[in-house]
Amino acid sequence: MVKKNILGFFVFLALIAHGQNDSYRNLRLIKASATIAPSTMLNRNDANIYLHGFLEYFPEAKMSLRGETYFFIDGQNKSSNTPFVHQSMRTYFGVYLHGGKGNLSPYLGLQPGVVLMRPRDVYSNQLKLSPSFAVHVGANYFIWKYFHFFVDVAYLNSSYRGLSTGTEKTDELVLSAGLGFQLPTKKSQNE
Amino acid sequence: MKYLLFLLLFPLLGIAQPLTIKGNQGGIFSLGVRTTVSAFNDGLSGNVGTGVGGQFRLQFADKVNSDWFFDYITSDIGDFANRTDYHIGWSVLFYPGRETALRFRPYILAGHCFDYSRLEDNSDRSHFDERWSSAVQGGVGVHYNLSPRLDLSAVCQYMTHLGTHVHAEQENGIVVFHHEKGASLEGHLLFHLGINYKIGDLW
Repeated sequence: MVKKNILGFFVFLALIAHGQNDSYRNLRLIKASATIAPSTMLNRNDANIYLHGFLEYFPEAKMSLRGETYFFIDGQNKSSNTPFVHQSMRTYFGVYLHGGKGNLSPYLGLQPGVVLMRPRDVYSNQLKLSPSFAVHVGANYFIWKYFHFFVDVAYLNSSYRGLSTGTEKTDELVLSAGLGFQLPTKKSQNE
Repeated sequence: MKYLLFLLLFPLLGIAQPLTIKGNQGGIFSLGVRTTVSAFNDGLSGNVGTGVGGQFRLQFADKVNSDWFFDYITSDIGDFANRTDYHIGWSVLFYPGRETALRFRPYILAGHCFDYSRLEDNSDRSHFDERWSSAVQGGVGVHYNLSPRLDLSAVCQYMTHLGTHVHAEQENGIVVFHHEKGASLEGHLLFHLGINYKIGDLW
């Protein structure tokens, strides 16, 4: 047990030491990841699970272009009613602005996008494409030339129109976090 | 594998270089995406709609730019019908003032577009009406230059559809589409928030 703790401490120390190097953000990164992302719907008592993947490019250290997709896996209603979403895929593309110094990079992102959604049968069974937009707040921590940790909270705005009861808002707050991968497209000055 | 990676990464290296302006700003080509809010003002149930779109810009001179766009907009008509609009068109942007390297760069715009509108009964998808038409638009906007290559643009424009007028009403619980021929200046007020990335200076 003590050995494990000591090993863990040294791994942590190594990560921090890597974090003190020159920012990896300056290396015109291409980064990507996929993770399981829980969400809560803001206009109903539903919670969903998404598979969330993104691909991002940093042409400048403080700005990146990013596209991402949320693929619906399943959902449940917290009051044991029928959840609204049966199938859903959300795709966005936009710009992220990055602040911070060194390898810790808090960011703000704005992305127009579309959502392809089919509600459960009790509502409608029609697959519909709707416009959407996303606002992201989060942070990256670049631990090495090829890896980073990230945490991201996204507000996804959308509506499902054409129901006999009128339009249903389908806004969601989605949390994503985990390990991401990146590839520098420019050589570090230290190399 | 190395060659494949090189081919994949090569286009990105181009947009990562500092933007080199050849002489004046004419020739700057940029790509962007935008989100739209549509405030319809026709009919009693002309609700606010939301949309998504994209555009490319080709600048003709220091003070004149052009914006070529596509928008996909959906909106409610009361709680009994819904409407989808597709716009494809172009606008010419004019920047007043002599200074070109401004953080905030306001402009006025005017242009023309083709559009397709489809109105659908919420309770019966096969009950719909549609309309092809063209439109003219005019408005004001501002670029906020976040970097030499990237700008955030906010636009407010009024778009007037030329030609046949179509709208939906509920009469005794039944959705009725009115398709009226004649000169009608039906229109809507559009607000766009977009981001644009300058790819390069073409000439």
